[in-house]
Amino acid sequence: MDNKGYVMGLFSFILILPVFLMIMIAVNMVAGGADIQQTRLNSHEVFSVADDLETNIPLIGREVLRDKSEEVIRTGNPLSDSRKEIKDEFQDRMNKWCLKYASGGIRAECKILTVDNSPDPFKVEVKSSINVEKGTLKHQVNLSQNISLINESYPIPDPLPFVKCKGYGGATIRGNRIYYASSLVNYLKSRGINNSKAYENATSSLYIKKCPYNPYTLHGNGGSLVNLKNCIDNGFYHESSDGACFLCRLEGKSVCPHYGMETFIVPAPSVTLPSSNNSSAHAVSALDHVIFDDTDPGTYFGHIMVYFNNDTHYFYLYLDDSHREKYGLPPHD
Amino acid sequence: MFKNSFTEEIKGMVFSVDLMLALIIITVILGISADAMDIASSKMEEYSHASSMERITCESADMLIETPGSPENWEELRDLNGVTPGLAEINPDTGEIQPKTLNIRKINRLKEYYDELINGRVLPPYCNSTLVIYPVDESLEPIIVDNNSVESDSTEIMVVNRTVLCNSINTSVLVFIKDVKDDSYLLEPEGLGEKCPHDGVNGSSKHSKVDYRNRKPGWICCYFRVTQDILNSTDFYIITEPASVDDQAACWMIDRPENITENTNSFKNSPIPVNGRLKECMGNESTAVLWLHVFSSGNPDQTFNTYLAGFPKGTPPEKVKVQYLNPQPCYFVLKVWV
Repeated sequence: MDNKGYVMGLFSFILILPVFLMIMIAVNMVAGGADIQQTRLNSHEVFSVADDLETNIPLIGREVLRDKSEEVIRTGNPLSDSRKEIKDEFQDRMNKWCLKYASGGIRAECKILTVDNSPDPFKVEVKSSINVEKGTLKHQVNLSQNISLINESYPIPDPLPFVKCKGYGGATIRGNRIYYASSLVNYLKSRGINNSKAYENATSSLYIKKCPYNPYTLHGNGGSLVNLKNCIDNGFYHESSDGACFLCRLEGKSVCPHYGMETFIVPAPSVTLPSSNNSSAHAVSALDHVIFDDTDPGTYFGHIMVYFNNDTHYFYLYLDDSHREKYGLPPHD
Repeated sequence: MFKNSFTEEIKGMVFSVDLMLALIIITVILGISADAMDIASSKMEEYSHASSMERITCESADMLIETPGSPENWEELRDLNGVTPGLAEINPDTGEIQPKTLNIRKINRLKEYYDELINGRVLPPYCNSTLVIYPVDESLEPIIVDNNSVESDSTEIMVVNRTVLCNSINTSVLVFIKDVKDDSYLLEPEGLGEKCPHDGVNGSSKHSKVDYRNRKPGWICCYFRVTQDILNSTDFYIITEPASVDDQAACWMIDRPENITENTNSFKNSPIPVNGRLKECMGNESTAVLWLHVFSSGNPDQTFNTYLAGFPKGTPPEKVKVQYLNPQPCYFVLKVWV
């Protein structure tokens, strides 16, 4: 300090000024660098959450489809609007799923926009919008994913027979097949269908499985019916423009305007075989959409076709000519 | 005080000695600062250029491994005009892009036309580059997409290393029978394959399912579809994992419902070629559904994975390995220099 009370002179101050400026610039750069690093980390975290959601949507979606189908099977009551009910349930589960990211300071939202048919009847299309935010960072992505109904470990059961047979004795589950007992006979009788007795103790497939015998004419390859037998034994489903899609099956519809699927409902094996001239050799055609079609001309008849006999029992089904052609099977004489 | 030094200088001097010395010091400091600024500016320019190179390299690598390219099936096109390459696999079942899982057909196509597809479309034309994919498993050969040596007069080199999944051979798995040790669901007979055409009538033996929980021997049977086109372009093998099967009773057969066989074959310690058997089963038909039946003693301690897998026609036998059946972790190394 000089004798006039100044700590430093003017020139000393001017000399020191650049030092202050440089310190300020350095502090600013360090703070900026830390901000950039933090933003990079947040960005990575946001993308990871979006990826995680994208991966989990089909898995959670399949659980919803299976649970809804099992609910219909349990109650026998169809869904009034399967697309909306599945969408709402799916939305609830996604909301719960998104909450687990909140602990990391991330706001994740997955909005299920639509649940609808896919061009492939063994898939359901889900459109969704994912929105993930952390701090000032936001990431939004719109997705369209197909959820497969086919899964070996966690197969999805077909709800339609349980809706149709409710009130007629009900269908039950035996292993991986649906056992109709007298319910199908009662159901057909209530609609005034002839020879409904043919479907006493009939069975059909429980789980939706895609048939490998494609092209479908392979079922009757070379005049042999062994492929048809194997298809029926395994309970495979086939693509069909007449059969109902999975979402309409949940609503208890056997036919719908969408591209759907069909499977065989086979009568119980018999020790004796009805004569082909007998009226009992003629019954409703074995496709599920034909048997369960409530509309008047929807149900049509087919002739008996024995696809296997094991020396004690005849294994047979009733099939109309157009379906015989589709599956490459010999027409009725 | 300042005013006095100019106006009240009795010797007529404009500057005092102090002032002159201060000005000299300030001039020196300004000079040094200007020089430092110049050095800093050139350093920043270098840094910015390097950052730009780093950005270009990183984004090019990410573009290649995270997108399937445009159009998505560009590897099938003859004319590559307007194509932007990307190597990510598309799931054939769902149609979804699988980022960081690379498609070998796209890699092979990029290998053929590397310069045309990379320069000006992925990297700026003034950049040179090499691309090599090294499997983490060192027993597998690296995939050299392009491996020019770096020029000696290069001023800047940037290398990006990303971990990806990649299969260096275009294989297909028709049947995979999973080791029961990997999935407890398989302990239940329902979890093991489908009902096969061997139903025990018309002289054929019945293929009861193996029951690992109760150690009962039996079969696991799985179907698969084959066409003549696939058969003519693919070498099929039965491969086990581990290669050596401890279960002495284990055997396999391939047949079709229309022509059931009872002839079983033993597993060997190496891949078993089965094209001959498949041809025999198919005959002249264009498409057929065949069955692979695998017999096991039911001992859960001696189980093994079984694959019926296709390798491109002419694949050398030493390359028929189980590692090639699934995408392997690899290092995707893109080197860019100017």
